[in-house]
Amino acid sequence: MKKKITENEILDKLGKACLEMENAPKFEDDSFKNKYISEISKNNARFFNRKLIFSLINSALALILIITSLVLFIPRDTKRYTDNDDEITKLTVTIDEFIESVPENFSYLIEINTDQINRLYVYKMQNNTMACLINYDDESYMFVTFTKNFLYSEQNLFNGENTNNTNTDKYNMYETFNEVKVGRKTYIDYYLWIETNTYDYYINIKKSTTDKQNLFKEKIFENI
Amino acid sequence: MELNNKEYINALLKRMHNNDIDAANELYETIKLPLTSHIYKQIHDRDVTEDILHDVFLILLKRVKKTIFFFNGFGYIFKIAQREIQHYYKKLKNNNNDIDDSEIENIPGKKDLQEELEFKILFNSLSKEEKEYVSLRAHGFTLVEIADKMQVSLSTVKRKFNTIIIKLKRGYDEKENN
Repeated sequence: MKKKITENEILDKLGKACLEMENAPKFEDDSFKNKYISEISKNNARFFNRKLIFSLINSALALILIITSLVLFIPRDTKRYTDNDDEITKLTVTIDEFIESVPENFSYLIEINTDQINRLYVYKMQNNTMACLINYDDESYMFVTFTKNFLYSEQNLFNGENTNNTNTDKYNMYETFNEVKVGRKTYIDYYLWIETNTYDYYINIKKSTTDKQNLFKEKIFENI
Repeated sequence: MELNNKEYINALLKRMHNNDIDAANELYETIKLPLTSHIYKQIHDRDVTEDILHDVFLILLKRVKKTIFFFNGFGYIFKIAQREIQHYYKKLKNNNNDIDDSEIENIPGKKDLQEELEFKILFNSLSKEEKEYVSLRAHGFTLVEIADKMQVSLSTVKRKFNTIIIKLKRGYDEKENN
């Protein structure tokens, strides 16, 4: 057990400390103290700068993280039609419904998933007719119209050749819908597969309102 | 401040770590005189004492930025001071071979020195009136003479010393138990 300090011992030790401190030199000059305090102020400034830099770095990192998360984790339906896709269901007669579903005076950008055709643009025409502008390559376009009786006509916009076909047995249409979620918005990705005597068109419809389409639209109406 | 001033100094160092100017000022005022006396007792030279005192504060300031946990702030300051004193003696011995090792050997043991510094800090933390009472007693005055000098009754003198003792003893016992 440790020996406890007595009252007299405390007073003696305090007294000794007192005497030694009385005999010690007194440095009343405050210049050092000011220097010492100013060092703390400098530290404060440095600390503030460091804090600012750290917070900027943190914000940048957080921003990068958020962007990366958006890019990586936002569900995007990239599913495309393939020949083996079981989800493609054969339509009986849904061309009328499809044409009806296209809003008035609205254009859709259609991407065609075939080797021969780059793009196809579909427009709703008057008299419930669906018009398609088919882009084979960068320079040639084919204008096709479908009616509700499955009659279609193809017109090459550049050489003016016309093909009219009335053999309805050959026209089969297939369609599928996919929901595409981008952020909080949901879009409908519509796939349409049209088999004609000439070509099989894989059509993917997405909403688009670019000026380029308006240009095509004008061209289509000029050529009707 | 009580005899167990460890927590008090730890708290000041912690605040200094966060660049608290008031804490730096408070620590400076609390330990300047005790530290001066502590160094002077071992160095016996006014100018060198002042140099070492300044060095101790500057080193403390530098280190306090790098340390996050202060378990024994008082011991920390004591070590810095002792190291600077030893450093001074080593330098002196290298420059002058005539220096006798007995000068260093005459310095009291580390534990005694630490306790002395602690009591100096405690004395410095007493009120002006309390310091006067302790000082008179240290100069050999009896309680009656102190009462006469301070123009108070004997019982007031006794009560004054009792207050000081109770305050300090409680802290000291706590420290011993720790």
